[in-house]
Amino acid sequence: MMTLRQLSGRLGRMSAIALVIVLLFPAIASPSTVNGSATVKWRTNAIVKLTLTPNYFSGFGAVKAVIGTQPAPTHGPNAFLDGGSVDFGDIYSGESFLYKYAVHLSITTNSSTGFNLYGEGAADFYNQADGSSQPISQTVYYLPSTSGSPADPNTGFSPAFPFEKTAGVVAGNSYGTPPTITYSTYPAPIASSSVSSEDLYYDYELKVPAAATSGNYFVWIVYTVVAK
Amino acid sequence: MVAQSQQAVRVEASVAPNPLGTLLVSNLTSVTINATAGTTVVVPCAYTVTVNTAITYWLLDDGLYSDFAAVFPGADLANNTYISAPQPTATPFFVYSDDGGRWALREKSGGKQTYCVDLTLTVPVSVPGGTYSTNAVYTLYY
Repeated sequence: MMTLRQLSGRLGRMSAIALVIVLLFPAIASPSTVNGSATVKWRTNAIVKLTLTPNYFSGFGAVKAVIGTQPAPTHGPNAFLDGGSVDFGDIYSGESFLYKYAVHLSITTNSSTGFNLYGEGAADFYNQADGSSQPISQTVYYLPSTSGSPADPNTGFSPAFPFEKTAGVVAGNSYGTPPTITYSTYPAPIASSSVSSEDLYYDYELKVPAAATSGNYFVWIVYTVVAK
Repeated sequence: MVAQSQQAVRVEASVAPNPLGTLLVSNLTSVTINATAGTTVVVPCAYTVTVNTAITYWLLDDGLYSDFAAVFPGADLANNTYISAPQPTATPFFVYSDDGGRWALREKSGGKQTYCVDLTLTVPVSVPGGTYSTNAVYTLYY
């Protein structure tokens, strides 16, 4: 039978042995280092930021389409520098107008392949007086402009492209409420960029058909930027 | 999920009847033609132009304000302007920006007349794919 003294002596030796083993363990691991490759994968969510600034440069406003010396731009009461509407003000049907410095779109993405820009009317050009409307593709047009330096060279006869009425699902469309459009299929882009950030500048043209009825008209133009 | 961002801008105007609004009108304010480079497309009566006046003698000028692009001359678009039966051939549009700042005399007539305009577009094979635009301008002198 083992006495308490014998037990403590054995435990003391065993502990000492065990302690050595512990101390030797790193020494054993060191020469067995293995070289290899590790692949780490992660997903970064695409980020798209669009800042829209109407009437972005002094001298913004509507100019009647004329040959020769260009009239000074004017605008309606709901347009102001760096904000408000693209407000052509009081116009006659059957005439054509250019709206200078209408919108500045500042687009930033983290996509190395760039972005597509879509621009569509949420509806047709709507007359609040009698509920009639004019097809937006026959009424509101866009064309490239400048930042203001150099000055915008466009006139009311400069080539422009019609906005189309969206085929997407429109929500929240009223005079005072900016709508949103939900797309199941995107339309043809109005601009496509292969760089991640870009500033785009547009003028608008308005050609209200001669048969249009009198009244206050409006339409929301909705811009959508999608990372490529 | 597609990463996208959306913003909207309101376009508005207060529209009144034009005192001269019926004097010279077109039934459309824009015409879209789909074409392939290297081909010719004819659009019969793409739009109409109406002079609506009792004045017995007037002149109607027309032309394009500018080319479609540097590599796509406006003269590649021809018109055949007629009242009831097309002319034997179509005529390339004058381009105001290229042709010395002048328009082409299209018609001399009087009273109310409505013209059909057939468009013939020939797209050079060298034109890159894309969207191009120009403005056709009509001016009435009386």
